[in-house]
Order: sequence, then C-alpha cells, then structure tokens
Amino acid sequence: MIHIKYREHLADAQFGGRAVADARTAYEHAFGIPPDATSMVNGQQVGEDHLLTDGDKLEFISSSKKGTSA
Amino acid sequence: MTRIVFVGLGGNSWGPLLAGLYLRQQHPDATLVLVDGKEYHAGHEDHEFFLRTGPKPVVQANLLHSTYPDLVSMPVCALLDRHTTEQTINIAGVILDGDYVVMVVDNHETRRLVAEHAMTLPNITLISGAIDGISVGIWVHVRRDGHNLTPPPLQRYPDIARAPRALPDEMFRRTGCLEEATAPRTPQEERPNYFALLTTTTLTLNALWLALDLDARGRITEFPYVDTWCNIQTATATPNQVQEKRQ
Repeated sequence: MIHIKYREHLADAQFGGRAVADARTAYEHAFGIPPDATSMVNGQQVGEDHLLTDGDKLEFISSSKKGTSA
Repeated sequence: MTRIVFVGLGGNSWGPLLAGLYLRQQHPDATLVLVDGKEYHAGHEDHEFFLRTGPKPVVQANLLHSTYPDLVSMPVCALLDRHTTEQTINIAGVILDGDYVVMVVDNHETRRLVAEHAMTLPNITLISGAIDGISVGIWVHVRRDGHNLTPPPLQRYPDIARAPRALPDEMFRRTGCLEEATAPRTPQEERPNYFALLTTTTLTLNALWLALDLDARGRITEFPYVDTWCNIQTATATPNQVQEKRQ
C-alpha cells in the first residue's frame, strides 16, 4: 500500500511496483495536484519514473504563492 | 528578551493583536517587530483589519501600544531585501539570531529571502502561512545551535528555492497610498476568503505558541510537525509529523 498525500488530501492505494507518474495521473484531478508539484517519496525528492515500494509515503509538494491579496 | 517578527501585515492583520494577549502574560519582555512596506487604505476592509489608514506597521504599532502599553512594538515600514534603499531594508538588520518570525506574504521571492537568511542564523523559528482558495497551509523551520530541528523549507519546497532573487517590480509600484487608493478594486472572485485568512492567523499563532512554550520548557526538540494544510470547507487538517533525523 502506498500512502499518497497532497496538502489536506490523503489516500492509501495499491501502487507498489508502479511509477510515481502513475499515482500522479490517478490523483491529480481528485486532489488538484498542479503539474509542477514536486514528488517526494519518504521525504526525498524523486523523478516521475521512480518506482514505488509498498509502505512508501508519496507526497506531492506545491506551496501556495498567495498569503494575501494585498 | 523575546523578539517576535511579523513579516506581512495584510492578510495577517489580526496576528500581532492576538499574539499580544498571550505575550503580555507569558512573555511580558517581548518585543514585536512589525514589517510591511505598504499602507492600509480604503478598499481592503473586506479582508484586512485596521482602525485607520496609513503605513501598516505604524497603524499596528499604535494599536498594540494602546491595547498592551507594556509590550514594545517596533514598526519597520519597508520591504525586506538583501540591501537597504529608499523602500527596502536589509533583512540582516531586522531578523536576528534567536527571533521567532511569523511570515504571511504573497510572493515566493520574500519567502526565499527569509528562508535563506534563516539558514545563516544559529537559532531561528520561522513560521510561514499562505492560503490557496479554501486551503490554508503553514510550514515551520526550527533551528537551534546551528542544527535544523525541522527540514529547511528550501529543501522541502523547490518552487520557493527557485523563486527569483529580486523582489517583483509590482511590490514597489504598490507602495504609494494614493496609487493604491485609486487602483481598481480587486474583483470579488479574486479576493481572499476572509475566514481562510483568519485560519492562517490561527495556525501561525498556534505554531508560535507551541515553539515559545516548548522553548520555555527546554523541549523545543520535540516540535512535532513540519507543515500542515487545512481545508476550511471540510474542516480537515493534515500535518506532516517530523520524522527525519534532527540534523
């Protein structure tokens, strides 16, 4: 099971043995993951072709530019 | 002496006033440094709290002094930068070793500047808040004796690390009161959600309280989270616990 996170969105899914890109494609719409979000596995930045292992924590990181409109 | 530096007084206009409630009891020696290069003006009442127009740090400092006369407030009416000019002030003279920094700004350039400066200080607590629609996020960088107790934001957020070093031109164009007062109002759909801004204030002050409290008890190494995102529509929050080995 892979633990997938983007901001407040969480999911556990069977992506062991598959690439990060596959998980991104599966969740980018539901989680609103922007195309330029960085992929982190177990706290380390990885490429989209990185293969996931059961138990991995995959997090997509994208900080908001907005703090205020002023 | 405890120094709390508030960087950005627009969306976080409630922050210093609320922090003062806690500080006057627990840290009566605290100094609040208030940093912003802009002015409160008519047109922003829908998301900024202010009693009168004028330079944001001065307006806030006056309010703090009238509310908590024993707390020291220092207004800094300038944009933070790597050097001092007519409109900017060198960050090295504003954010000092040992400071607690609460930053709510609207650009990655300032976040990068402050995050880089934090890495030059042996001791710093840097709290950054931002909103994205109905999602509110904060991250926290804690350094003690030159060691990162939480991951540095420039490692965790590559988009901040990649931000231009120079402040965006629009920050300088918008510092005039008359110019801002005569500018077209922000369309309704682009204005920040007021309750998301309040949640940003809450989360950043929560982190501030936690850091101050843990430091007072000699347990800052137990600071529990790196960042968190909160959705104000679904009332969900997902903190990232500190798991990495303290550097």
